[in-house]
Amino acid sequence: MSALMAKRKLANVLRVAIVAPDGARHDEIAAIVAHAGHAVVDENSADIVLLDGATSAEQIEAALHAAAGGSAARAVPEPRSRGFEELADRAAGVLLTPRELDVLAAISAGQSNKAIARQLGISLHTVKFHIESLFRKLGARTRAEAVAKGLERRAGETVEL
Amino acid sequence: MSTAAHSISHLARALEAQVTAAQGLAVAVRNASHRHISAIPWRGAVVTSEQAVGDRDEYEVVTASGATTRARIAGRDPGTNLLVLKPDSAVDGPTIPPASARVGGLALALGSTAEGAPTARMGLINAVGPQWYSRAGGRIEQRIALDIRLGRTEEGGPVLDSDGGLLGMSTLGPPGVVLVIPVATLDRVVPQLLSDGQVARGWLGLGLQPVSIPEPLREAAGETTGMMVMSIAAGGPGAVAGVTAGDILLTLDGASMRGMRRVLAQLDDASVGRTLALRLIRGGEVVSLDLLITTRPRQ
Repeated sequence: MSALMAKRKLANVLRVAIVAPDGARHDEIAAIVAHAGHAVVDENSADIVLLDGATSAEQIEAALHAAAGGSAARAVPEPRSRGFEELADRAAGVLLTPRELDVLAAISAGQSNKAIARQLGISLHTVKFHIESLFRKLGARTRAEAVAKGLERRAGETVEL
Repeated sequence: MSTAAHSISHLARALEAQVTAAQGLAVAVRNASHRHISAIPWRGAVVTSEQAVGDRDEYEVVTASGATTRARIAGRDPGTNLLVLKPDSAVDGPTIPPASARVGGLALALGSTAEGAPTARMGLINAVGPQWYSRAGGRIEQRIALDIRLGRTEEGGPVLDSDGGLLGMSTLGPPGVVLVIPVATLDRVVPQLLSDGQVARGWLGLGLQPVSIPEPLREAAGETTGMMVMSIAAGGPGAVAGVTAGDILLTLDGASMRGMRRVLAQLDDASVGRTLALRLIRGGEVVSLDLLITTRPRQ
């Protein structure tokens, strides 16, 4: 068996870490992950970190599927714990638009441009336009990079009031 | 011995003397799995860093003499990063007068090992600023940043100035930054935590992310940026008012969501029980909702 195949086989059963706002939500997602035949582990030993934000079971399964196939959603780096921070009076830098956030969420769920267009009810051309704008604003060159930078940004910008 | 060497050893001895004089001012708070952080005895109770403490029921306080006592969480405030534990038997520390922070002054950050032995770090007071608001919405009387590295287990200990006065409690800030929660904030918040378990503060029950308002909506909105609702606390004021995920908040009681300091100032303890008008964009329309401010439920 080639090394590639071994890798492939490993990737079929993913070690998945779950980051959820509360225990109940964590258990809910864990059930979906287990149902899909993957193992729930802690963040240190995970192949992929699932951040809550994927809302439906289908979305979570789609993300896992994409990850098992070795594509986009794989191994999203967890934004590091940031410590106790000051709230900026104004957000710095160029903000994303609501639509760009929708597209970013769909990208992090491992969806293709076609699927995103269908889901959001917009044309493929418009999806590409939003993605280009996202890449520019986030300074990303790949979808994975955009997802990682978007998460980091979200962690840095979100306030709980 | 040269004069320079002499003054260095003089400084070193003075520092040692200070750490010795502060004996008992840093204690350890340990959980059942023997992970620990540092803390400060405070009028019989123990104050430490909120962000470093989980939500277990039971902790152990280890004093400098190595004595241990059980302790329970009496109150916590993520807004100011303060948590108070009530030990079964009172933990007494030395009384240290408060000090005021000056940039360039020396600061000594004390901590404790899991066994109660002291740890010490020294550095400059890197920056001193006016009052500020944390991302959790709390007001902190003064922004004090230290030129000090701090281990995870040393967080929550006392920070002294070069005269041995207490500047406040050490706190791990953004990556690479060590902050001090000043004595003035401890004096204001700790008594509230001991009596009520929390700090009264207006709560919306919403997780918000700033977004750029799409061009066609800017005129109607009267704003170029807003705060998009990313999460809603079940049963919270936002949920009760009918806020839904994806709404873009524009103003709260007339104040633009662009300036977060003003918004937070509006959510002070006096706001609890008031009904405020919330202007927002939903589905391309500008909508107004009445929102009754409550306090955040106890965690």
